[in-house]
Amino acid sequence: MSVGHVARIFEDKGIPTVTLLSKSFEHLASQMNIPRVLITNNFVGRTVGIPNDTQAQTLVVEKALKLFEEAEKPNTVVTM
Amino acid sequence: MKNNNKSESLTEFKKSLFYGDRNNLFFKFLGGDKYSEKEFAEFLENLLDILANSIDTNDFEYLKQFIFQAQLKGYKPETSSTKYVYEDFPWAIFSKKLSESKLSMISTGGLFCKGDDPYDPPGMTQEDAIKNIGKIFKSSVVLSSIPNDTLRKNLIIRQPGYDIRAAEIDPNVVFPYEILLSLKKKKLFKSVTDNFYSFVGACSQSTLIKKAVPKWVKIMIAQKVDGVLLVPA
Repeated sequence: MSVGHVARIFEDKGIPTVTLLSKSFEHLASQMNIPRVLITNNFVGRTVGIPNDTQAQTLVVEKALKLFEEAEKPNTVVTM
Repeated sequence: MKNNNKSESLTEFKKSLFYGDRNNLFFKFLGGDKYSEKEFAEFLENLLDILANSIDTNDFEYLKQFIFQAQLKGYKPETSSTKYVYEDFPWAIFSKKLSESKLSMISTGGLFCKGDDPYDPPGMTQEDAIKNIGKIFKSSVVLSSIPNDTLRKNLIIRQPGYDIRAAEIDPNVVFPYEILLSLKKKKLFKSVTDNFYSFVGACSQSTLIKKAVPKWVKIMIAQKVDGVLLVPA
């Protein structure tokens, strides 16, 4: 919920955001109309991946950042 | 852990996982209302069966999936909830190419640098934070600045809303600062802010919205940031 509010206020003030959400919090993307969201299939508290799995973590962050360019409309939600 | 001889019902045991005597932030979802006593018993029964099979086969993938599905059920939203349901669609256009952009990151993971404790008085442990989660919810929401070249050993993680064990092993699981720096080296984007940021996401949403985030907007605008990655715990 906290990231959703940060995203909404930042976007309203002209700052683009990409928000990661672990699948358990997927419902927040549509509930809060979060602008750009990447859903990860990871546990809560391990949103980017498991510890020291740099390869998987990199894939998540890279895919998230590409949403800055790729998302064409508000509330674009992509799943890993 | 409980240490007395009093008998205890299954429901009491279940509830103790959610900020009770057996608080377990990884499995706290089992202690909430999404699991009836019957469902909790079924979960435990299946867990033990799958665990035994996993040990025999040395394959823990199904066990992980079983727990993952249980977590999804535990965090499923109430359909009747209307709080923080929005109709509007805020949207800022990302006008640059990613390869030419300057990025920053904010994590709700409750990270801060040694010597820069956002809570007063400083030095509260994770265990103390869990016991005082009510006070933490009522306190101000502080954005900690973390220089992007900070060594892992100089990071502290304290957040009573989630199980911090994975983040203590590798902060990138909720604060992917080393991953961002590595992607910058690969020229996926041009630059990052000198600091990345974190706050305790288990906080008053009203304080966050009205007092904290408006200040953070100014911080980002002053640094001419083109985009911000937001990472919840």
